[in-house]
This record gives sequence, structure tokens and C-alpha cells, in this order.
Amino acid sequence: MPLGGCLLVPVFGAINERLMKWYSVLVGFATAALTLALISAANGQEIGALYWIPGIDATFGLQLTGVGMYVAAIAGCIGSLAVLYSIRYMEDLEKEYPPTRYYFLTLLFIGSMIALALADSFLVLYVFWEIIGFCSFALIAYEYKRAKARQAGTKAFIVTRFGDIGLLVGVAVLWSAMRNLGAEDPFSIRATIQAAVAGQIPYHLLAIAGAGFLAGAVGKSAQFPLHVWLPDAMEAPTTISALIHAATLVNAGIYLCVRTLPMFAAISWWLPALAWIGAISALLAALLALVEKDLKRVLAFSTISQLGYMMAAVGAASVFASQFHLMNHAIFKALLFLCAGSVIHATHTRNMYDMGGLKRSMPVTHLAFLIGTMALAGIPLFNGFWSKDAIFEALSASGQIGPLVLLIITALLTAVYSWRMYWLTFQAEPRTEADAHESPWQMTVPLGLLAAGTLFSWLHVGAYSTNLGKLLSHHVVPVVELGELWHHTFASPLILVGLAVVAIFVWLGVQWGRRGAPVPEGPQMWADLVTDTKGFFDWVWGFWVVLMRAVASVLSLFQTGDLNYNSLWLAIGFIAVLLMFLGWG
Amino acid sequence: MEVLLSIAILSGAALLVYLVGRLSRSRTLTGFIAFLALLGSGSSVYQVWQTLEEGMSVGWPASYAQTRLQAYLSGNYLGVFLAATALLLSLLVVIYSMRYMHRRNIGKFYALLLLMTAGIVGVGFAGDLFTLYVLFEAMSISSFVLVAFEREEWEPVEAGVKYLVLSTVGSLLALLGIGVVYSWTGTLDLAALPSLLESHAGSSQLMAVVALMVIGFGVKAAIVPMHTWLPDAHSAAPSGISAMLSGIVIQAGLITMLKALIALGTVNFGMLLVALSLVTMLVGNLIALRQSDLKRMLAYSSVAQMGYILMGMGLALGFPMAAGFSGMRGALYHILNHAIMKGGAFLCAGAFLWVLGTRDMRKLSGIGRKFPIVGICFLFFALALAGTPPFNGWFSKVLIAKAGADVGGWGTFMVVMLVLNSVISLFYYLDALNTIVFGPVPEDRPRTLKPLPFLVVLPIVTLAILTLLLGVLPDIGLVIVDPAAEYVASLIGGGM
Repeated sequence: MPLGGCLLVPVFGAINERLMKWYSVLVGFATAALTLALISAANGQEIGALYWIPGIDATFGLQLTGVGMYVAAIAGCIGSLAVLYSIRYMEDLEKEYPPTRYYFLTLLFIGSMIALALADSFLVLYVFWEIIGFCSFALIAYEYKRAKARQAGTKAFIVTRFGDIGLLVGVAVLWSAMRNLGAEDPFSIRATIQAAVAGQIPYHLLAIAGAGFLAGAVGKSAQFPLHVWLPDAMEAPTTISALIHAATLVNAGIYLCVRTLPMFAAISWWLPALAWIGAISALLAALLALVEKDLKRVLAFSTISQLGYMMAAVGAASVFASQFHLMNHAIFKALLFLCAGSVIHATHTRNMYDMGGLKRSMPVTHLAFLIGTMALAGIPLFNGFWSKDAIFEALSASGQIGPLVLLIITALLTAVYSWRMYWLTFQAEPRTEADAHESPWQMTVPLGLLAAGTLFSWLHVGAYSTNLGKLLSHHVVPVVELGELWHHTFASPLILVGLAVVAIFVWLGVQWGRRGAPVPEGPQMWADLVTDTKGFFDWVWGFWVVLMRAVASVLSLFQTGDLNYNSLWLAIGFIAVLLMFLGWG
Repeated sequence: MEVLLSIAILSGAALLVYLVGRLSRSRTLTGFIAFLALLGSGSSVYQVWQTLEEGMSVGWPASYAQTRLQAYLSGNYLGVFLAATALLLSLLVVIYSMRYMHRRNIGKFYALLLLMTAGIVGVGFAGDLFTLYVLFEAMSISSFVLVAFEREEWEPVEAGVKYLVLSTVGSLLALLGIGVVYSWTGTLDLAALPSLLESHAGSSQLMAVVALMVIGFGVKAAIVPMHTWLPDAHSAAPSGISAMLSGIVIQAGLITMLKALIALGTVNFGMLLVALSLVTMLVGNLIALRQSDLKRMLAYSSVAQMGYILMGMGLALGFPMAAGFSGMRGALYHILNHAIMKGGAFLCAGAFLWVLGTRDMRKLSGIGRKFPIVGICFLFFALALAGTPPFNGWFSKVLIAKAGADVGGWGTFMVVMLVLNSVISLFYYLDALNTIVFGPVPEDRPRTLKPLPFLVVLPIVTLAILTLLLGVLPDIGLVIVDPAAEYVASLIGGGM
């Protein structure tokens, strides 16, 4: 639907700009309604299988799965709210950049994500995987006249594509393996999982594919050590950040892991690798978020951190915990981003040290942001709390103590940085000269809806866990009822101790936030250095880029353009070939 | 007969165009004649295809035994594939050049272009090594002259001379190899050679012949380290010719090599080709990173893309049982895709050059926004070259990756290298995009630029549409690629 819809955007844009925008919103909401309808209509039918590339037996198969339909619904619903929000938010930029491109790419982005989540073919999945990569490049670099935005877009695309190397190799290996089995549709995800569970795919091929898929997911979901692109992607318009972080791009990696979980669970190192990668990313990003001063980048680090939780939950083989957190995170992170957008819209700065005291001038945004912060910090009764708790439980049940400890430390740090962020932005004395005022209704309505979602989405857990397991023959998803969840969580006395500790850390965060910008400047310089390089990982990757360019320079020395040398190379080539043959006999 | 006709029409029309060009300087008239000739050749290629589909053999003369001039053409699916790709690209270049080229010498230009196309078509249909060599040379000689076509300037002449010297050395090496084969067997029939050479299998002399062929034809195919002529020639040639050279001529060189190597049969040179392909793609991609000249960058990226194609072929030849079909399919599909996307990219570069008179990317900054249609098309081509869906390059790369996975073991490692290389290439394609399409407009650029003629934009848009179409519905390309891949796979004894 949005895929078709996006094609019409330029047409409407040519007629009338206003018409185009409202048309986009309409398409967005229709998509949201459709994806929600999918959930209620889950009956196991393939919802469409065109013969796409008969030459290689590839079908354009879409299949409804429990996990997939929720990821699609999240993309549809949050995406449509973001589109509604954009109408006013993007007005400032419209003078310089015609909005047709924006709405076209946004709808394409949402549509591709939905198609990815519903794909029943690794080839289709790969194609849409790359298309969302391209969309993210184009949208992050939306303000193309700023060199920084262009660089950030390029970086996002290239870094995620490093992960895609693995995905493509994995797809090719599985295709080859399935073809050797004589499968009718060698790309079918269902059939591949079935074959893998039945042990028909050789272990070493499965291991290669597993490593490849893991690399792909790590790249897309911005996990350690490929997390470097995400904070830079904050150059995008805030609505796009919300879209990338909450609704689409980063969820794709988690979704891929969950979808293929039964297939790779047999590989001995696969699950622990996921858990450790997730836990390390979570901790690293939380540490960096502690000292970041840019509001959006704090949120970016917190996204990496929360995705680490989901990754670790998949590593604990818990479909429910990871997907529950994915949904909750999507809701409260979209809320936080859109609030941040509202704040930036009002104050024209992203530096938290220049904000403060906004609670009086922007009451609605303030309340919404507070709710989002509570959820992020894992305060009980907000949705983030329940899913984080489920993740801890899953990890301890699977006996992976190392990642569990890291994640608990992270949870405490999360409380600190989220409250620091909240306090710096909304409490304390105003430090901004801008005349901040509340945003128009097109912006606050999505905020209200998302805030309601943050408050109440966990009540829906029974239906969620029931639907999640539907149509997935090889996933184990226990049904968790609300009462059970409640009882389970509060039965243990440990939880009270835990809450007390969290409260202390919240207080710490508030204290830190109260201090405002650090005086003297020295520590902040170091903090900026660490956060700008994402924990020095920019340097690690930058080193390779520099090395590559150096090798290229050396190589171009050999390209003299002198005919004598050119002929020499020809002769050397001839001798080399002869020597190779001699060597092989 | 149709086989001969497909070449004869082009050669005949080349003469005619030259004569007409002497009388009239009309670019439209000469171009139109060339256009008709290409269509005529296309229709006879289509007839060849139809005859092959009916299961009959098409040859001129009917069989090798009946040759009197030692020239034998035999219709085959590989030739049909090569001819179709070449004619398609050539057709668009003819349209493009009607406005792009200068009036002076237009007759010569079209005559040479048609001769070159005739050579390419002939290489595909050549049935013996002698004919193969002669037509290969016909293609080469016209391309030397075309590279140095703007002979008043120094750069094209220098590039042309380099190209001429290196290519001739290569051709002579190959000729030496052909001579040795003839002295052993007394025949040059491609179909008969493999069985006749069986007695030489594993001998060092045969290996030397293989080395001669690989190096000799490898010069034309721009395999590293024989690629050194390419960046000069491809950047100095008129842009339409750059598109032809990069899009189809170097691939025709590779197919010449393939045909010769298949005839030599038994030596396992697949590993050699895969090793060369690794070096080729790495060197091509890395040097392309350093280029600030748009056409030079595209030229180096052609070297890298040749590496991808060579990898598919190497895997197919090295492991005919496991990857014979899938490797060839990937390689041939990539040839088709590359002709479309690289041809298009060069035509875009030519359009920018035509407007601003520079190939320096910094000076071209932001030009894609001034001419949005060409800019968007360039975006398509760059992303297709980097292998991003939904543009066409991704599919052939997936096919080559599949071939690597079919081989298994280190084949999988080769796939990793292939995809890693395509990520490296993303660096400079995105860089080019960021400058040319999204970059800031320099202050000193005049406000009004001359508009691009319709006939220059039309071929670019056509190629861009093809890029998108083959990316979304790759099956269309398989119609023509699959028979060719099956044909080659059957020659090398490969399975599906």
C-alpha cells in the first residue's frame, strides 16, 4: 500500500504541495489501519505469492507471521504518526528543499520495512533490506547542502552495508544448500527453517550463514562494533530519526535474528554471541550517553543501548522478551524523539546545556517527555519496565550470567542518563534566549497518542504474546498473561531492592542534571571527544579507511601512464601466469 | 546466412556512412543510416535466435568442412547474447552522438563505430580461431582510431597510441598461441579442438599456450596487470565511445578469451582466472577511490567490474560441475547489466562534459541539480553500479555470489571478497553522487548553461529505465542470458 502510495507522491506534489502532504498522511494512516487489521486477520494464508523471477525459482512471497506482523504494525502506526508530525515540523526546511522528495522517501521507507517484515523469501528480504538502507542514506542526507548531513548519510549506508556483506553471503549459502536439497522454492524462509530444524542443512553451511546473518543484524541494528553510524545519523530531520530508531531501520536487524532463531539456535556459539554483543553494546552506549550534551545524540546512544537489550534477549532464545521490548521501545523512543523534535523546533538548538526550564513554556511536550523518560529509565508501571524485566528473567533462565550482569549495570546507568537528560532539558532555570512556545496540534496529537501508548501498551501483553507465536511453527513463544506478569514481577523481594537502587540512581541523575554545563570546560572536552568518536570506534574504523586510501595511493604510483612501464606490467603478468602454472604443475 | 548478414550489414553500412559523410555533414542523416544498419543487423540476429530456438544449427558456411576462406561463422546463444547487448548499446550511442559529436568527420565516426560493432558481433559468432582473431582485430583497430578521434588534442592521441601498442603486443601473443595450436592439430575449428588437444593435456606446452591466450586477450579485457591502457583510453575517448568501450568492448575481449580457452579444454585455468579476478577487482576499486576525474573514476570502476565478471567465469570454468551454469549465468548477466549501467554513467559524464567542458568532479559539483533528469539518471547508475536494489546491478552480483556458495569452501570466501569489494566501491560512488548531485554549486559557474539536446538525454533516460526495470524484474534479462549460460555450461561439461 505505501509502496504504491509513494509512487503517487510526486504526482500530487506536482498538483499542489498541501494536497500532497495530506495525501501522504492519508496513505500513512491507511497503512497503519491495514497493518493493524493484519493482526486480527492472522489466519496463516500466504498473503501474496507472485512468481517474481521464474528463472531462479524465486517467488515474491509474503507471509504473515506473528513476529512479522507486529514489526509491520509498529512500522505502519509509528510511521504514520511521524508523517502527520512532519507536516508542521518540516515547514522550516521547505523553503530550501522541496518536500516531494521527503514524503516520497518516507513512504517508501515505511513500505519497504513492512514488506521486509512480511517477506517469506530471503531474496525479497535482502532486496528490501537494501532498499531501507538506501532510504536511510537519502533521508539522513536530506539536507544535502550541509556537508555534515551528506557525510552522515554516506556513513550510515556504508557501515550498514559492511554488515550486509554477511547477509548476502548467508542468503547465497542457504540458497545453494536449499537447491541441493531440491527445494521447490529455495528462498522460502519457512522451508529453510524447516530444513534446518530437521537437520538437512550441513552444520558448517549453517554456521557460515549464521555468522553472516549475525553480521547483517549487527550492522543494521547498530550494535557493537558497527554502532558508529547511528549517532551521526542524528543529522537527519528529527522525524526521520524517530522513524529510523523506533519504527523501521534498526528493528530490521532484531527482526532478522528473531525470525531465523530456530534455524541457528543449533549452532553452539550463536546464541551466546548474540547475548554478549547485545550486552556489550548496551553498556558501551549507556556509558557514552552519560556524558553526551546533544539531546538527540543521547537518544541515539540510548537506542543502541536498548537494541542491545533486545539482541541479548534473542540471545537468551526468548522471542517474547525481545519482541515485547521492541514494541515498547518503539513506542517510547518515538515519543522521546518527537518530543525532542518539538523542543528543537522551539529552541533551535540541540545542545542540552542551552535548554532548561522548558516545562513552563511547553507543558504538553514536557509531560510527554516525562512519560517517555520514565519508560526509558524502567520506572515501574511504564512499559519499558515490564519488558526489561522480562529480558532479565529470560537471561537468567537461560543461565547467561555474564550478559545479565552487564545489562543490570546498564539499567542503572540508563536511569542516570535519562534523568540527567530530562532535568537538563525541562527543569532548572531557563538557559535559552529563544522564545519557546508549545507546538501546533499536528505535532502534539502524535505525542499524546504515543504517550498513551507508553502508559498502557503493557496491558496488552496477553494478546501480544498469544499472537506472537501464531503461524510460527518452530518458534517457542509462551503465552504470558497480564496477571501472571504482574504476579511474577512483584512476587520476588529482590525487585524491591532493585527499585530502591534504581531510585538512588535516578536521584544521581537529577543531581547531575542540576549542575548544568560542567565548569571548568576541561572534562567536557574529554567527554565530547569520547562521544564524538563513539568510544573511539570511529578511530578504529577510520584507521582502516586511511589504510585503504594509503594502499590506493601506493597503487596509483604504479599507474605511471608511461608506455614502457605499461608494457613491463604486461610482461610481468605473463611471467606470473607461467609461474602460477609451474607451481600447480 | 543470417549470421553473415548480421555482420555484413554493419560493415556495408560503414562504407555507405563514410561516403555519405563525405558528401554531407548532416549528423542526423549519417546517424540515421547507422541507426537503420543496427536495426537491420538486430533483425538478422533475431532470426539467428529463432533458428536456434527451433533446434537447427546456423552457420556460414553450413559446416566447418565447407569453408574455403578458412572463415567460419556459427550461430550460437553466446553470440546472440553478445550481439544483442552490443547492438542495444550501440544503438543508443548512435542516437546520443547525433548531437553530441561535432559535425566535422561525422561520417568517419559512424563508420568506425559500425565497424567496431560488427567486430563485436562477429567475435560472438566466430566459429574458428582464425575468424575469431580477425574479427577481434577488426574491433580493436576501429577502437584505437575512435579513442584518438579528437586528434587535434594531445590527450586522446597519447591514449590511443598507448592503447594501440599494448593491445597489439597482446594480440601478437595470442596469435602466437593460435599458431602453436594450429601446428599441433592442423585445424582451428573451435568445436573440434578440445578433443584433438586431449593428447596434450597437462603438458607444459599447452599451459604456455593458455598463458599466451590469457595474457593476449587479457589486455583487451583489462585484467590487472594488463589494464594500464584503460583509464587513459576510456577517459580520453569521446563519451559515446567510452560507453561502448567500457560497456561492451572489454567484455567482448573477455568473451574472446573465454571462447579460446574453452577450445583449449582440459587445463584447469579456472583457479587462475579467479586469482586474477581478485587482484583485478581490488586494484580497480582501490585506485578508483583516488580519482577526481569523473571519467577516470568510471574507467577504474570498469576494471573492478571486470573483476566481478571474471570471478563468475573463473568459478564456472574451474568447477563446471558445481558452478558451471550458475557462474556463467552470473558473469553474463553482469555483462548485460554493466553495459547498461556503465554505458549510462559514461553518457551522463559526457553530458556534463558537454555542458561544462570539464571532467573534474569538484568543478562538476551540483551540476546534477541543474539538469535534474540527467542527475536522477546518474543517481540510478551509480547506485546500480554499487549493487543496490532496486537497480539492476544487485541481481547479477547475487548470482555470482550464488556460484561461489555452490563451490563451497574457499568459494564462499571469494564471495566475501566480492561483496567486500562492492562495499569499497560504494565509497567512491556515493562520493561522486554527493558531489555531482548533492554538492554545492561553485560560485564562478555561469547562471545560464546551454540546455542539453533531447537526443542526448533520450539514450540516458532509456538506459536509466532499463536499469530500474532489470532491477525490479530481473527475469527479463534471464530470457537472453540463460540460453547463453546453458550453451557455455554444456561446452565445459557443467551441470545445472
